[in-house]
Amino acid sequence: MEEDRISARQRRVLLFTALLVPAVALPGRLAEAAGDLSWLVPLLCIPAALLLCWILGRLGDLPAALRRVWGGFFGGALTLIYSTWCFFLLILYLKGLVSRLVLIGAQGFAPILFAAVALGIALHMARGTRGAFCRGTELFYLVLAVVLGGILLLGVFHIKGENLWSFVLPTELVGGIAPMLGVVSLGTLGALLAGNIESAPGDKWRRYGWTTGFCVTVALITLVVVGRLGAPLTAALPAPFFTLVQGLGVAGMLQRVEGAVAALWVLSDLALLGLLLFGLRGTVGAVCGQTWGRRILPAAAMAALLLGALMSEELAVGLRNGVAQVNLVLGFLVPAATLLVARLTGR
Amino acid sequence: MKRVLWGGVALCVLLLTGCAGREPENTILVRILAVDRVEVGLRLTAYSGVQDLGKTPGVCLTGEGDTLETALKALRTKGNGYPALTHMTQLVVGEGVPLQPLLESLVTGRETGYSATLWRVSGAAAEVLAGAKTPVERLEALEKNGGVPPPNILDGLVSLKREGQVALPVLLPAGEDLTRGGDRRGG
Repeated sequence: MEEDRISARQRRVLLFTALLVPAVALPGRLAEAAGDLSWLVPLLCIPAALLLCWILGRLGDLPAALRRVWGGFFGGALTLIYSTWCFFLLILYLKGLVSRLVLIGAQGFAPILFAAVALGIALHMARGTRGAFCRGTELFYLVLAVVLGGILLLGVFHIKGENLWSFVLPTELVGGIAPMLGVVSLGTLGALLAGNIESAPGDKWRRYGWTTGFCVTVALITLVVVGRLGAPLTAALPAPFFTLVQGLGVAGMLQRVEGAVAALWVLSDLALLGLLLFGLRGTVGAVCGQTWGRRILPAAAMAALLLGALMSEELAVGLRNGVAQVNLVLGFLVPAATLLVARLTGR
Repeated sequence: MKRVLWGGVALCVLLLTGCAGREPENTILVRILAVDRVEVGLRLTAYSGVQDLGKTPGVCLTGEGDTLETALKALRTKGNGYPALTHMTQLVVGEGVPLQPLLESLVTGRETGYSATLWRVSGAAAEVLAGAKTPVERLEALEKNGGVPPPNILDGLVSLKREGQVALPVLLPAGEDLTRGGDRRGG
């Protein structure tokens, strides 16, 4: 275990890369709730995201904190609820990955093949060391940062001002906060990576910087998507970010790049699936021992593949839309309550 | 074990090339798609440009169906190749065709992209195009030199979603030629 150390920076990179999957799905949800001003919602969520960042920083290793604060039995039970959460998210995001690939251009292929390959790679990474996984995601991050940077840069020239500004009731803006915080709450998955995290001087502040950076990135993605497609169309399309990408490019040089971008975005999916499997391994390991944490992974992956294949598309879309509330409870409220009790009881 | 695994992966990469068996020389690149309302639903008329660097003249194919998908399927049973809509530059919509569902199908269907220019026709789009000598070249010239550029598929759909209507230029027959009439607002 001693050699399986990761740095706090690697964990931040991992979270940023993994959360790009739900981030590009957000413009549709935000546009549905907050209309033309949906791009403001991620910026409004920055204080709440920083608060979560502070809470998680104080708690440290979440499974250990749960047992310390809530006692062995309740803490262990709560930790296993987190395992269930990871497993549930694994099915949902696996299903989401397959739906997206089929939608972008892989019609006529067996969806379960994509799911099996993606899950196989994620499983291979999750059975190894956290260090190797994080080094892999650092490469994924570099690729995705260049791709996303290019999309945002080209996207800015296609924005139409009239799509971004209209009178929106403050209550509508608030309606967009829940989906955004639902994604931010997934940051708690980083606290489930049990074990040693090496911190460097200044890491505390960099953590807040990356959290703010993530919210600003989501705001920019929403800005270019809603700015080009308009809020009503953004809300109606199944994958508005990739519809936007379809129209970007440089005439005669680089056109119809949505297939390539969708393929590269799989790197983010792999980071997310790997993070969820590591979360499962960490939480089960904290309760039943590290050997069980590793042993359960192939069975969990097989079960996720099977349940994902059996789940209808309508149910998956409904669950993805409703998962923000579950994320808020487990990713935000439970850590907040844990810290509060820890402070009150001095544990 | 690792060698077998990587050997298997390398074999898959070599064998699964991702090609679906459509050769470029058997592909008909559709440039204009005309959509008309008929009794069964929709009639599609597709014009390709000249192919093989001018050696093969353009072709005109038609297909009917109750939805866009079935009409496209019918269109693809015609001709000596596979009509691909990936390079479509003009979409001409005839009288009575509901615009919003048509554009939504095209944008979510993804094959066409959404950069094709939109035109309206009073009457049957196929008839107006059939009267023109070289509809592909004429329509593309009209788009470039005919004043304010007409909206493309995406711009049209964005307007329809926001305002419930969109202003489209009307395409008129002029002997063996085509001309651009005034804009007509509609949904």
